[in-house]
Amino acid sequence: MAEVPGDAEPEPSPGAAHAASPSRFPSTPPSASPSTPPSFDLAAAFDEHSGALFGFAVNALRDRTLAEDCVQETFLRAWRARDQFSADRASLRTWLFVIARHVIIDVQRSIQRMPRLVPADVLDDTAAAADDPLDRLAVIEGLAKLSPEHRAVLVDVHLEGRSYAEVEATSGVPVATLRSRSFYALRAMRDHLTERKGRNA
Amino acid sequence: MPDASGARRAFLISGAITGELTTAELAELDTLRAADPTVEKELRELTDVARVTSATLSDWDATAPSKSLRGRVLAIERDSYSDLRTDSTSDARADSDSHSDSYSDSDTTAGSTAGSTNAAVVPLRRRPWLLALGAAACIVVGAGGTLLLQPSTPSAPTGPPGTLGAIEQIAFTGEPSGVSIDGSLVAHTWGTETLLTITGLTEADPYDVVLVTLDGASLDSGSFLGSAKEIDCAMNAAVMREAVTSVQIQDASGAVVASAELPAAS
Repeated sequence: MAEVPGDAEPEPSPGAAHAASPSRFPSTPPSASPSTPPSFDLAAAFDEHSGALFGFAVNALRDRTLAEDCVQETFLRAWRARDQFSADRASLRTWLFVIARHVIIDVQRSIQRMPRLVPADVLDDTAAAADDPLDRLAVIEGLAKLSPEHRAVLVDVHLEGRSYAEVEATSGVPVATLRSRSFYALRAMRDHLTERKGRNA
Repeated sequence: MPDASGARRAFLISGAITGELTTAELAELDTLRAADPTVEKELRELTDVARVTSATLSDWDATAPSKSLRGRVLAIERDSYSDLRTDSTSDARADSDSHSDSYSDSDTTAGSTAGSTNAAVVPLRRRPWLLALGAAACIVVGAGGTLLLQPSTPSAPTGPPGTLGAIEQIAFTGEPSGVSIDGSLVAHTWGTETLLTITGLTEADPYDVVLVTLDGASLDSGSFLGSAKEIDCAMNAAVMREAVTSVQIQDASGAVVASAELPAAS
């Protein structure tokens, strides 16, 4: 057997770059009293997760303004429901993505109800290959949840069709690392899609 | 950290998925497959994931949101506490006023309750795309098909009138004999969506959907044509649900064909 590449990626951490911070949510419902505001750190949550949530929304909707509205709506709903969050059941990141998914679905449904007036460029990409809009959304959500490094290799290699050698030439990341990242990113995508399919079944 | 064989396995499988293995690596993978049946299974699964992913998207928008978004989101918290403070000192406020504070920064295009003295706000009120869509669109569906108006997910929002994203059933009165109107509202951060399912209105006659606000202003939420078939409409208006007191359907002369009075929203 050939030698193992020396700079192979560590065991899967495709989403580790954005690991959730459940401690930022209180495990008990916050007080409604204005003198003892709840400890949900909205700014920290935004700083840590807004990029991924925006990536989810903008790639699902292909409209930056709509996507920003979705992110804002996501944090608004999270803020209003913060006393319902339990870190024992899901991470903050997972919870925010669930909210964002519902917001995006709401927006997509609103768009679908307005077929004559939606600008064509809004929908050009939203009618892509996946037959079921939820399947498409699941793929985009899975990609959005990956770390930037793992997502980048999937985009470069599997969406844009570049070879690992070509990506190495432009990024400086060795082929062995890229192939390792690709493997673990695909694994994370597989697990995500399996989980989503199970929920949608 | 993966062991050496695990890392090599990952290296070979990812290379095989894109067809970039050397002859030596192909032989090595074949040996690995023969020794470990999970290699074949995982190769097949991940190849399928790669295929689905590439079939779904052709590129990825990796840009960041605008810097202003952070301020808009953080305003949610600020305004929430402002609301709490306001509420705690305004017990005697009339119900009809109790929701106008969240509307008080509204753009003048809404022609609404800008006179409120309660200043707590959430900054997002409307977006250009909403105005572009504001004229509404209608779908005439055949006898066999009616578009779903209910939340598609089990955890879709529910709650009292004004709950963001929740569907609020409304009841129309005054419609002519033979006319059926089922209506719902959805409160959004950017305004109010009106969902209508209508039968019996005069075919090809134009009708307007109008939202009446607390201060008596009438906001056009869109128009549609009567049809012999069932009409399924979704219309948007740049006014917050809290500020809407009734929904009217008017004919071309401005006469009210049917009206739904709304409860106060929170």
